[in-house]
Amino acid sequence: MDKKQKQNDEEFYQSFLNESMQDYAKNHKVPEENQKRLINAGRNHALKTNIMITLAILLLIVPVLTLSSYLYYAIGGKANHLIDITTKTIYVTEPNMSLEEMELEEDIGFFTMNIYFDVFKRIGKEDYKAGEYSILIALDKPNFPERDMKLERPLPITGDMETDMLYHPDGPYGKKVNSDWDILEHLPDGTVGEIYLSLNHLIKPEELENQFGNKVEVRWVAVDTGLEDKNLYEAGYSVAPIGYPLQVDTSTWSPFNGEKSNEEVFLDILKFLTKDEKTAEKISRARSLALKERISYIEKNGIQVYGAVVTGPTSELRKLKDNDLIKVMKVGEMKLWNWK
Amino acid sequence: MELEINNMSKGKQRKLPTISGFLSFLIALMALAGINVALLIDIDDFPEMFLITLPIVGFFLGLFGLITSKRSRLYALWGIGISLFILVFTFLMIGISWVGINPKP
Repeated sequence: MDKKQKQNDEEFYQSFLNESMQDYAKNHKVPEENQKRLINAGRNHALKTNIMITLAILLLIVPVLTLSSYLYYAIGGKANHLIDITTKTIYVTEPNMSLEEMELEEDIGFFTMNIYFDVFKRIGKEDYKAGEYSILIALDKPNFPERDMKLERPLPITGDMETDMLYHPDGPYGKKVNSDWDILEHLPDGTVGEIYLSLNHLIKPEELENQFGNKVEVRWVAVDTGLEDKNLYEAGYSVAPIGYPLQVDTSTWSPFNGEKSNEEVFLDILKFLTKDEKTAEKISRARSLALKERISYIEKNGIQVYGAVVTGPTSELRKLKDNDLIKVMKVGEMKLWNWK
Repeated sequence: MELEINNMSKGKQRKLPTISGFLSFLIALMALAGINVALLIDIDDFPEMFLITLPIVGFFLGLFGLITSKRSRLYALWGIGISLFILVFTFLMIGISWVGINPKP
């Protein structure tokens, strides 16, 4: 009995299944043409979606990188800090050179920053454009600056105590160097000039100002930091002169704007640059700045100068030949009369 | 590989994106392309159309594209995402250039 019942059930189930399958096939029958159309539409849609999303991702690369670079340089004031290091390095390592920070331009690429600025020299009573700087900074590491100097007698690209025209009285260089008095002799009176004076002995900067009379302006003084009078092996570093402008600079955005004395600003700048000495070294023409040693020497011995860059009418500069304080004189730049 | 043949035969309700969603994505892509060109060839002028006008249009079209129960919102979401990115990009770039890097009084 049971067996028969089971067989019946199975047959019933089988026929029900067959019926359902036939029903399904009948109801869901799609013509072959429709099937193709559907598959094509699906494929096209998938292709279109793929293309658009790929395009979106590709087109996002440049804006995302640009935005990330801007954020990288803006967050924490990294760009401003790098600009600060650059401008302050110029003031303390380049004799008689200033810059207009308002005119400084920056250009940010993919995690690189280019900064461009002009540097000026005071010759006579006017500032003349001395050249253009362009510095590429990759992340926060600068390359060596590209300088385009528009000077008659520019200082060399890599400077040291031998080449920078300011010699320490006790140093190994400058003993065999001849002064350029004959150049001044041959220049007409209607000109103004900038000359580099190396002194016979160290002197306080405030005393130096009165040494050369009213008609000569002391622009920049080279400070003795204990390394200038040594040769390369004694010093351990190849250094170049560092110093600061002696005159208060009110007309520009200079750090030497008179809020503090220039000596204080000079020391502040050296301390500020100590934290990023490698960056400052790249921007300066010196091979090394050795700031820690120099700061401790200055703090111990005070600021004493061994050289100066002065400007004035050529006729007045010629008179300095008789000044006992001057050991070596080198001529820098000359310009037409502007001494008013 | 369910093609939802049944639905298709009754009401043509395959999950195609909405038209405004598609337009939103397309406009956002055009704006992005414009920004790429402007950034790569370093144009000085402010490309307002690509930075502001197109993303705003794309954003609102994307919002319209979201209003659907049965269609795909994929394109609308991409459109909104890219448009918002461009607007944030513009805002941040202006802000950073103004105060963040080398500010000039």
